[in-house]
Amino acid sequence: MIEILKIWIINIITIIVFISFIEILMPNSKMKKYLNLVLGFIVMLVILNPLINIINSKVDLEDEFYKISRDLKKEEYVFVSNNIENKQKQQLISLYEDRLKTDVVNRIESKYDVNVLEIDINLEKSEENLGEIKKLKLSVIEKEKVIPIVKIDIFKDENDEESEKHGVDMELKEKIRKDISNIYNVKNTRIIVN
Amino acid sequence: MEIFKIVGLGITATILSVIIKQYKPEYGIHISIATGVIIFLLIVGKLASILKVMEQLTNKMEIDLIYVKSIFKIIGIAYISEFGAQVCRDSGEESIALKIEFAGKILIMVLALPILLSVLNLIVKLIP
Repeated sequence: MIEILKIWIINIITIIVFISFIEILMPNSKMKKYLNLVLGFIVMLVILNPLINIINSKVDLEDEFYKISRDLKKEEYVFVSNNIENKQKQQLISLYEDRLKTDVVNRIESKYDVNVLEIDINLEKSEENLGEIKKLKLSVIEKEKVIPIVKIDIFKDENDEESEKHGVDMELKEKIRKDISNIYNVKNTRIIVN
Repeated sequence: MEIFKIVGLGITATILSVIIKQYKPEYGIHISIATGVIIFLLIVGKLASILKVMEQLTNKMEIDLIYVKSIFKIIGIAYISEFGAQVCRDSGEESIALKIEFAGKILIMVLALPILLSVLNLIVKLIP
């Protein structure tokens, strides 16, 4: 009994000396109160130590400490890994969109005699129908042919000729629309061709 | 005598910095950072010996070593964040200094939390 008491008293004295040393080492700033908090807890632990040993010898403080810090780390890693997963998903979707765009453009340009000016694809981002095409907007222009030399009539209306040269007729647009809807299994109404 | 070295270095750097600030204010910060690092490097050996003695002291106690390690880590974080914040504050970046201090506080809390919770659990267990 006296032996236990002796160890206890020595412990308390050493921790007090130790803490006074630490107080000198500590920068006198806002951080000091945080350290004081921890030091207070440690003094408490040292004072309580024999009591713990008497009442419950199974409590292992070191185990407890490691368990709690492990849990904290685990939570941090789960947070980080979730972030990484989300980022990966987004990258995958954008890659898919790019591929889809180039695919559509290549297909249309090789099959018909048109140039694709602009393409805009809206993809489904919810979990169930991930990657389904919601909307596809396409604006095409007729490929410029080699224009044969023509005598230019100055008095002819210029606007008329302009629209004839660049516009793509409705039939071709309809054809492109049907084609895309067949290949990618998209509803006809979701495709807009200009 | 180490203290003469350090004080001499400090005063020299201060005079240099004051003179240089009249012509090129941006170099003043460089001088103050470099001086801080040099002074830290000069005393880091002594600090290591103090820490070793402290460790021996705690070995004699019945207290677990992890707590002591946590305390030293907290002191280290406090010092380093203080150093960074002070440098930022000197160059007039109060907001960046506050952010450094904030990060330091968070890191200290992460280190302190296991100790806090284990003490709490212990006290709860003590109550029959």
